[in-house]
Amino acid sequence: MAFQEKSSIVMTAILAVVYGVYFTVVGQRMSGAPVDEIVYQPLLIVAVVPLVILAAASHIVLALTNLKEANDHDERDRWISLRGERVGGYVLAVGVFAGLVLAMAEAPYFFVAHALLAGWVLAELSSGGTRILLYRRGV
Amino acid sequence: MAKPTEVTNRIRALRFAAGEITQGELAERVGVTRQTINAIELGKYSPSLEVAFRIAQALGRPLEAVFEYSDGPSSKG
Repeated sequence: MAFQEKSSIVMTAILAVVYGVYFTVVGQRMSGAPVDEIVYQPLLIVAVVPLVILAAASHIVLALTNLKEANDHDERDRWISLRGERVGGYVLAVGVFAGLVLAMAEAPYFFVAHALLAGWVLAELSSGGTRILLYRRGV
Repeated sequence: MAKPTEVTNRIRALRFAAGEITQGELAERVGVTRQTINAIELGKYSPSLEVAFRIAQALGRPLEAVFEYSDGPSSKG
């Protein structure tokens, strides 16, 4: 497995877990209180901490166990990365558009923020998933 | 999503013919990863023209002895 492929799998998994937990916790809070009163900001900021730690730690381990290949980034890696970014870009655009519509409709900040956040998370998951698929199945 | 490439190649056979060069050795000579050479051999990735030339050169053969493009039944116009 190419180093960049391993890296993609790890990062996509970390994002899925961290934001899966975040959205689950926030979702639970939604059933308890009116949306305007949910204090999600600290949770959102705090979620970045395990994200960064897990990402850094996992990549250190990956690099140490794949010393020779750790800096590899050849044309196939670049090409797959570009394809992934393109898919992610479409998904991100949908999220941004959703946030825009919600803002124009003067929906609560809570929904605007989470439309944008969900758009970004789904975009990263989509681009990661696309990369993994392309590495496995070929282009 | 994954359209199989119509470019086929004889890299594997030529590797063995040229003194049993491994995928890793070929990758190093060409400047790509071993996994990319493997993907090319299996038809899972179509290399750029430059990389195709470098592979041919590393195997000591002309380009069209290594790669073949089949114009299938689906010809346009």
